[in-house]
Order: sequence, then structure tokens, then C-alpha cells
Amino acid sequence: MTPAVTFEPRVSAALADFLLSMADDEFVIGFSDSEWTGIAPILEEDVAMSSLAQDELGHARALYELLADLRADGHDADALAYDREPEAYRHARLLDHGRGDWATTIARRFLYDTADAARLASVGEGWPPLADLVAKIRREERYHVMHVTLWAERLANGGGEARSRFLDALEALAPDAGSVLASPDGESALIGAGILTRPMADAASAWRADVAAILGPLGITLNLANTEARPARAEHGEAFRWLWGEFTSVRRSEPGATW
Amino acid sequence: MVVGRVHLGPSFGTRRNMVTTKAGVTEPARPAGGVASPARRSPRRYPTRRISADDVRDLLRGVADPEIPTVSIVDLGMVEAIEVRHDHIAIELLPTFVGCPAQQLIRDSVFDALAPLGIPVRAEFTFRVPWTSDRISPFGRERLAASGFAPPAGPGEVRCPYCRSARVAMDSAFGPTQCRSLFYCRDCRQPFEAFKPV
Ligand SMILES: [Zn+2]
Repeated sequence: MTPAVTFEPRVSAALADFLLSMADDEFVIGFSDSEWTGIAPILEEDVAMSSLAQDELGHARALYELLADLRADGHDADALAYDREPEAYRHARLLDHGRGDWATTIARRFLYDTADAARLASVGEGWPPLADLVAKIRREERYHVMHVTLWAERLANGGGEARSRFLDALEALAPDAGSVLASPDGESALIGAGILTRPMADAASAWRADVAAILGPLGITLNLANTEARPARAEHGEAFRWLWGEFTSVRRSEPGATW
Repeated sequence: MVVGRVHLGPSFGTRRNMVTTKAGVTEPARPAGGVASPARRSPRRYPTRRISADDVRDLLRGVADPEIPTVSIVDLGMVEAIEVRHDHIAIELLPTFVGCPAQQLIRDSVFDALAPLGIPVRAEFTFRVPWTSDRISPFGRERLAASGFAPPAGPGEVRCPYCRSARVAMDSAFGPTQCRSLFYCRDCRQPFEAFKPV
């Protein structure tokens, strides 16, 4: 049960948007990970990607539940996760890319996990239900960062095709990576309410330093400046529409079914 | 949302003669017919004075997370609070992982285990206190090791649950359930799982 809170309307609206963007990020990356179940390059990775997917979908569920409690408009976590048209999802542009090859998957996950860590580190005590959940999520996410960093090092140090594919993937994703930490609408209201402790621009600087500290020793420099004019969390492409068709297929085939 | 792969462990039986309400409260079922609507029903008295939190805790020692069937939820440190109130028992549970797919199953097992008390039970999962692997009791750690599952330990401190060797290597931080990592013992050449320290 979420304790009742009374925020000013502009704060609750900003909080709802922020929750939705975090939940959609975790939901979409979780589903993308689950696409590797059964076809990952090695058995351990098959298991790991499935476990990562389960973690992320669990985080998404908990965030959607908070959002459902906050809005209290009768839409539960399932409705939020599955009953929207593709245009209504608010995941970051970085996660709009299709699964791609293994190098792309690792590059995307590396950029996302490091950015997500900086975002989670920016959540304050302003709304206790979110602060409590984030504290728990961070304990799990550090394993994700650890795991994907090992893979980034393995590919970068692998030379030949492994390194060149990984570099190509990083280059291709870099212009979209900053979308995870784009300033949310109503950011100042969130900071005023203590829900965020710093602007996302500060989180993004910290993230770029974190990424450089890992990639630098691997001889990789990446331009992560956000130079894209396209919106960070709207206008989704074909790859996401396909994924949406997959993850909503059961729900759409029998609306309202329970099991 | 149903998240993940639920490993159905030993059967926990059915909730005989109990009704689970949407808010996660079980109540003794009333005989069909002549049931007053909940709103109009007069408050019921239950003999809770004879029941202590320790009694409840003892009954909960029979409840396990289906993903870790050898250790009870009490020894896993999942039971944060037990309050015996005048008309119900309130239990606060901590999920081991945010996406734990067994929460509903565990809650149902709690209702089953406490059904003999004949008192409504309210059981809720909360993140108010984060569950950490430090909450596992010494007995729980022994039980984990005895079932070939290395208890949570820091890097470099994991021991092979079969031969106690420290010459072990982590194969993968992620195992078949969210709480497990995969290891290999270089001495007895046995792969094993270890509880992730979180
Ligand atoms: Zn051994």
C-alpha cells in the first residue's frame, strides 16, 4: 500500500511522467533482453540475459504499480504495460533500436545501464515509496553494470571482428545514448519536492565521466554529447512497433484474460 | 504482470475454508447462504489473546520461497514484522528481489500456514526496508550450504558447498533464478550455485 501523498498538481504530473519514462525504459529493455532467451552466443549468457530480463520487467512492474497508485484512475500495472498504443510509450530513443547483433546488444545495455545508474543516483527522499523502491533496485542494478562492463571489456579486448563490431555499435548508438538522461518535463518541480536531488544535466555529466573511465583504458573515446534534435522519448520507429506487436500479442488476443 | 519463471516447488496445498480478498486478507469462509454483507456484518471477536507473534513465527517456519525450498521465509529474513491485533494478524514481508515472481505464491502459503489459527490474516510485501542477503539467519546459511547452494559471501569469500575449497571461480553473476550466481570449484570440479550478495 502506498501512503497517501498530496503533491501540488504540477509536482504529481511531473512525477507521473518521470515514473512512466523510467518504467517504460525498464520494460522495453527487459523485453529486448528476453529476445536472447534460447539464442544467446553461450549458454551462460542465455541464462544471464533471461535473468536480466526478469529483473528489468520486475522493476518495470514495481514502477508501473507506483504510477497506478499515484494516478488512482483505475488503470493497473498490466493496463499501463500492455494497453497503450506504440506512440504512447515514453522509453528513451536509445532503446528504440532493434536487437541487432550481440555487440549491439552489449553496447546498448552498457550505455543504458551506466546512464540508468546515474539516474537512480539522482532520486531523493521526496516521495518515500519511490525512494524505497529505488534503494532496492540499485542493489540489483549494480550486477547489471558489472556484467555488461565485463562484456564490453571482453569485446573491446577481443580484437578483430569482436572489437570492430563493438566499436561500430557504440558509434551508431552514441547519438541516442543521452536520451536516457534528457531533462524530464517539470524537472524543477521534482527537484523542489525532493523527488530528484539534481538536474538530469548533472547526472549526464557524471554518466559521461563514468563511461569515459571504463572505455578510456580500452582505447575507446565516444562522443556522448546530446546533439540530436529529435525528441528523447517520443516518435518511435519500426523496430519498436515490431517489439510492441510481440509483447502485446497475448494481451490483445484475449483482452482481460487472467491466469 | 506475471514476471518470470516460477519454479513450482513442493505443493503448499489449497486454501481450505479460507477466502482471499483483493486486499490480501484471508478470512475464515462463511457457510454458503445467509451471509451478511461485509458492510453490515457485526465486528467479530477472535481469541487472539492466546496467540503470540512467536507462535505465528513458528508457523511461518513451514513456509518457503519456492525458489529456495530448503530455507523458510523466516530464516531467509523475509518476515519483517508480525503484529497480532485484536481482530487480525498483520504480516509484513520483504521480497528478496523486486521482480520476485513468487510473491503471490508465498503470500498464499502464509495464509495456508496460518489457517489453523482461524483468524483473518493480512500479509503485504513492502520495500519500506530493503531485503538484503545479510538477513539470512545462521541456520538458514547452514541449510543453504547443506543443499549445495553456497550462502551469500563477498568476492573472494565464496566457498565450495561440497568440499569447502576457496579455489572457486564465478562463471556468471546470473543464474537460473534472480538470487543465484554460477560458480565452478577447481578442487572438486563441481559447478555450483551461490546466493548473490545483495
Ligand atoms: Zn569443491
